[in-house]
Amino acid sequence: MSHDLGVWVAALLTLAALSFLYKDNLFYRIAENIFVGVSSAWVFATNIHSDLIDDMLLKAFPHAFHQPGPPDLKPLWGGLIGLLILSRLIPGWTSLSRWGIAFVVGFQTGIQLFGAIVGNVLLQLNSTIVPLFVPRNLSATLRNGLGTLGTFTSLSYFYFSREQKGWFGVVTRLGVWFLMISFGAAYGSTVMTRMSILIGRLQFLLSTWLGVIHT
Amino acid sequence: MQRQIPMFIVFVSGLTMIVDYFFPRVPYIQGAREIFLNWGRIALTFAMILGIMNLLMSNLRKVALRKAGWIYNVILLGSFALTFYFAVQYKMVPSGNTFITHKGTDMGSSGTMSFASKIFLDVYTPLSGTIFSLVAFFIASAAFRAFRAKNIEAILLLSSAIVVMLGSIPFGDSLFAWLGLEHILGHRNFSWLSTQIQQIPMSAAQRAINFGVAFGMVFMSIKILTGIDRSYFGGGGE
Repeated sequence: MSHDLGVWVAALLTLAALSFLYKDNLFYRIAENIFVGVSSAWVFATNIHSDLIDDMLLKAFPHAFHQPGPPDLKPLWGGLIGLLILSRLIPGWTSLSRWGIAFVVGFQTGIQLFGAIVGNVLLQLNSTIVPLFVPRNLSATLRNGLGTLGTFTSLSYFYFSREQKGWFGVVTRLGVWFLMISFGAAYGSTVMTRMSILIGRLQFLLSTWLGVIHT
Repeated sequence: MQRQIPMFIVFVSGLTMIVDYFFPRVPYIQGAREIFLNWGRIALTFAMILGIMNLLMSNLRKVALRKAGWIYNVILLGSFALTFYFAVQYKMVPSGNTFITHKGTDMGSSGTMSFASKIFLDVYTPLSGTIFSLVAFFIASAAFRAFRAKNIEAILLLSSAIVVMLGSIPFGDSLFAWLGLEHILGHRNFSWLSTQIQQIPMSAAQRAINFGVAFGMVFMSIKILTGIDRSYFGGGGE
């Protein structure tokens, strides 16, 4: 059994979180609230350090932080935009916060627009348009053929401008089959990912905490 | 003007991000993009302050009014304050088993560790892992109640889920051999079958879904940039 206080804290919190499998109880609620508090504080502190201190204050006022180099006041505009967002807390200044929000919405939209085109559309098209016949390689031919067939039939299922009847109904039905296989596989891999994390926690309890098993 | 100025800001900031793709080697455009990205990150942190203030205020209100379960709000506020204090004191960036602080590299699982890294390793990591894994039980029990092999679609969904699950564990391959499936499929096993399912039909269907999502994102972005969609203004009287 471990003599480390940290291991004991981690073990008791793990058991408290697992107790929810029985029913909602006092220990689970305590663990849940600790988790919300710790994770939000952690993310907030990390952002304050990386974005506010490193990217803004350290660049704008390097001498205040005993850093060499000339001051760069450009990042302070980012702070001003941030203050505009916060201005919604002051009654009567709500419309100013829209300016800050508009900047964030605009730059995120710009990133997202080309990210979707380059990352999703072009790359996916590249993987879809492949040779349907690969000489002397039956496995690659089957793989490419099934992949292209699956993509086009699945896409056809989402085409609602035509009634899914007749030959088109057959195509969309095939698309549904591909989608069902995909959902099943996604479900299976999600369950197994979560299970492997659970096994990790159980190994921690039995090995690091209790020392019953040796991994 | 209350609507025109934000719409203009959206258009200019969005366009600056887009123009860079067309003129990648123009220093002014690239510089503007970098500056906007930096401003955006800083502004988003201020937006986070708004969210954190909301979290703290709603919890403080419940404590002040002694609402049912207020003691849990005290626990939340206490854990927030403690973590925030120590995490701000030590600039923490998790990197594997070690932390990098502004005072140098913090120790790993052995030796002296700062209190902030202890909170991360002994409180955050076990709780996030356990709560994340709890979902497995609920999706498994929900699936047990909902999945019924009533038609061909349901059978396909069930069988691909079972194959992928069996393909992830050593027991699956033993079962494959015990069932004598090796004689039918050659020297293959559930792991191979699971990989094939994920690489061919799953990726094909996911590709189709991704096309839909990407086109949706593109058209939504164009609507926002051109001012057709102004939902980011929010409701309210002003």
